[in-house]
Amino acid sequence: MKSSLRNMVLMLFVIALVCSAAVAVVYDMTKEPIRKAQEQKVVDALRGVLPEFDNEPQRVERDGCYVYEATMNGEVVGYAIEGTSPNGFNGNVTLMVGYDTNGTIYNIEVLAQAETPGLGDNMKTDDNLLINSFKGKKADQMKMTVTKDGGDVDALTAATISSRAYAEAVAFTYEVYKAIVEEVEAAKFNPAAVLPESDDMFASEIDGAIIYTATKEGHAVGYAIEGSSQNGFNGIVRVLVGYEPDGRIYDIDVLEQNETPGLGTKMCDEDNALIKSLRGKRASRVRFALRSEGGSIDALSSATVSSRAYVEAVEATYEVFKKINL
Amino acid sequence: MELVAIIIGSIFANNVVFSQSLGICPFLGVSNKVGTAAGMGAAVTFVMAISALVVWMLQNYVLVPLGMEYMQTIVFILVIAALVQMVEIVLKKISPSLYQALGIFLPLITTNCAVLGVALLLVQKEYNLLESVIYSTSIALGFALALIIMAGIRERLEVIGIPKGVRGVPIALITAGILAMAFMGFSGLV
Amino acid sequence: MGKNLKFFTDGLIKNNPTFVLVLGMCPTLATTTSAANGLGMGVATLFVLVMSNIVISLLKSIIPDKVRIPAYIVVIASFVTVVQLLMQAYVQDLYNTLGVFIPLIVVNCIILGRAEAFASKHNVWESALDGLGIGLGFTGALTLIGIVREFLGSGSIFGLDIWQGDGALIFILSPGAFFVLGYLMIVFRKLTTKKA
Repeated sequence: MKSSLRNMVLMLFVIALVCSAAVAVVYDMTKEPIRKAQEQKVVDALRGVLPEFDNEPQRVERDGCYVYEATMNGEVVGYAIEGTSPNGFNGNVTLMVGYDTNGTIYNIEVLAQAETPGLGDNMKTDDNLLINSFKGKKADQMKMTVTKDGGDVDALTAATISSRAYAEAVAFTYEVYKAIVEEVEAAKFNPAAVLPESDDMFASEIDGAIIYTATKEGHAVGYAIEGSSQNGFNGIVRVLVGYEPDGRIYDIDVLEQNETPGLGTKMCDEDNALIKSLRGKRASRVRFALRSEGGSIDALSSATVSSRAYVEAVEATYEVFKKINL
Repeated sequence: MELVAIIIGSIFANNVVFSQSLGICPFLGVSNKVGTAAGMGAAVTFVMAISALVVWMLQNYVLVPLGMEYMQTIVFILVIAALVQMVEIVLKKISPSLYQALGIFLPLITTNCAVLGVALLLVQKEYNLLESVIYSTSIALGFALALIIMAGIRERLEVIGIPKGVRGVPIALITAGILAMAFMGFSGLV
Repeated sequence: MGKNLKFFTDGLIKNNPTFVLVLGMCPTLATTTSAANGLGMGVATLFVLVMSNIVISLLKSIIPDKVRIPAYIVVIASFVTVVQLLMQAYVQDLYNTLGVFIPLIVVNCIILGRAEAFASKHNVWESALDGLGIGLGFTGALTLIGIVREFLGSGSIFGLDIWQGDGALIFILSPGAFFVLGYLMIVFRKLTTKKA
């Protein structure tokens, strides 16, 4: 066709208009399937990286990463965190890293990568040096850089850059995980929860122990003290005990524990045997030992070791409380 | 430091031709003589640097705010095509000597997939403006390097006896394969 | 019909885009790391090629000469975007593997080349057949290269293990792409010249 300015501009305009309209229609049509496909991918990945869960984890953005909280029977069993490193060999490497509540890396799934086939893209297999360096490890006990850079991560053969990006992406998720855990801890750590009603609170220190004193109209109405024992079934048991000024135990909160689910973990329950034998009692009259061992405290059934640690932790707070009264 | 890594990585370790397999058509097509190879390399560098700038601004100030990222491919290719035309016209006006040197290569650049490829990659990598320009310039320099090395070798291949069926593209590909192996050695650099 | 069939078979062998015309080299080298990837790339290109050939052939009489190239590019780019969206929706893993090479179909010289050299001069039916022939030639070549590279590089074909073990990794990396394509081209030349 002969070209004139008018028909050139007109035709190009019409073609561009029709084409972009057509593309927009297809975009609209595929929007839903694309979203579904991506969602399905995420659901599959979540199942792969987390312990068994029964909720529908929601994607929440946090510090530039996406976080999913998984629960089982209403209790948090782990977090899956998406982390991206832009420093792959061919652009972004996006991973989903699953942590259980103890800070152990449960599993890792590669969500997106464009690394060299046969080398870097081996990261997406179920069994490779990278994933094995992380899987089942306590995140706080490893250095998340490749061995070449002085870390604990074995790099894939001939794919150092890809491996670095992988380690970096995991490290990003761990930063987020730490922030979440701190927040959860902080939420748990609420001295007011174990103390009588008050209108003010201040913290002070005696021999390295921090004491939270609650006051009402200027008079002290209670003291919250933290204590811990290393002798739990799986390490530390940390409690926060609230005392009334006369030495009565007002309430107890468990801050940290790694006990056996269903047995030792009962120490966190609202009205368990341990707390029942302590709450409302004058600490000076309590014999800090289990009843079976000559004390005045009922143990949790089938969790003697955990119960003993709990008692030890509470007793430690009483030692501090005695110093206040002196 | 980041920038140095981008430069070294893009020129050597991630060489656009040998490692990313982009821009192969001009690589095979215009690598017969060192002179033309250098001219093509210069033209590509010029266009890539400008297109990185334009594409980056377009992506971040137009497509993203409008939520039209899916139109990326269409918009980018049109912009690059228009840009090449404009460069040609402007060059002709302000620097006829440079136009003489680069002019004949410019129309070929529109379909050089390295230009569009780099535009798409720099968006994907979420580089900022400075990084984008540095990145695409380095990629283009890597392209020029590959082109010139290849041309140097092919000039020598011309004068030796090669079996008939292997002449031309096949021997060029096999040579490129050996060069690509050599470039793999750079991957330890970054 | 005989003439039409020729349009189709020409693209497969005599004008094979990969081995004879040496066009569209970037995806040929970059995406043939496995047979399945090569096939996927080939089919995506085939779709764009056939569709753009049809549309351009339909529009040939109303597109002004001087702006035909930009007009073709718009048409091609639109179909590429459609392919991108469809792949994202239904074969996301393949889409992620092929990465930037899917949008790069736009600058595949085969497509613009066929639009300019064929579709703008022939009717719709012939253009569709030409697109199909060239597209299948391209797909076949990519799949073949993919099969060879996957076989040598990882000891499998279409993911099925042929032998145990790793294979020669170099064939999956980019040097291997150059070698395999170079040698296949020699073999293709040998076979086709004998016929003539």
